[in-house]
Amino acid sequence: MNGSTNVQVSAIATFASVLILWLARYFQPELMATTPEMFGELFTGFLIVVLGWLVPHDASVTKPLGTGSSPKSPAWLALLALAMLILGSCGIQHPRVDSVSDGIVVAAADIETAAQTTQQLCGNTQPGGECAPGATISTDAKNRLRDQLQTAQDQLLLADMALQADESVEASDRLARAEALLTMVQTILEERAR
Amino acid sequence: MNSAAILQAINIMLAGLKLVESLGINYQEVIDAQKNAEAEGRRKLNRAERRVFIDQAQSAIDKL
Repeated sequence: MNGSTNVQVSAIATFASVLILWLARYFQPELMATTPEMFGELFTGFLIVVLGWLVPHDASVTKPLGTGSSPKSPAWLALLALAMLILGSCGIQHPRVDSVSDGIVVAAADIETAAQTTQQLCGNTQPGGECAPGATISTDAKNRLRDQLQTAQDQLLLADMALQADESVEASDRLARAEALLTMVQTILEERAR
Repeated sequence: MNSAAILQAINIMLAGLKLVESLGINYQEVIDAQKNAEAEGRRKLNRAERRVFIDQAQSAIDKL
């Protein structure tokens, strides 16, 4: 395959992978819950290899979205990534949130997800280490995101302590602060992941 | 596109995939904990259960 075909096949395989995993999670949630953490990446890699083997050299998929000279522009890749995020998000079941206690737990899960995504975008191999060469975000950006997540986490801890002390107003207030900080981080990450 | 741009495009897509996957896994853990609490006749998670999720979040931050 040539360079453009490489990119297109990788993108198509990634898109197909998310679609297949989403459908599998929807129809077989219990089975999919048993898959290892890196199963998605493994499956995507497998599809890329299989498609790369099947698709001939110079395959004529150079204008997938009718965008003229798009093979030289990453714009259609961004569109595919966005579609992938939307499709994937549709397959996720959101936990119930009808108390401050639930809110704390869901916010903690969101912080964990944001931290994992930041690490994926940075590619650092050690805690506090530098981002990998060619990573999507810089080490400074990663450190800023880490500090914001830590601040949100601190508010969450205070919310938990307040809830334990039956100070429900204080707990709600702390939780709201954590959620506001988290929304900021999530917005930055979503922009980076497009 | 050069190889660096290709790698970055793939990296971005994998990050998107990771975001969706992590969100699904982390939310599933919360849903399971809520179901377990309901099975025990409780509507809310207790502090020990909350701390498990808070500690997991701290562990993920510490890896950055």
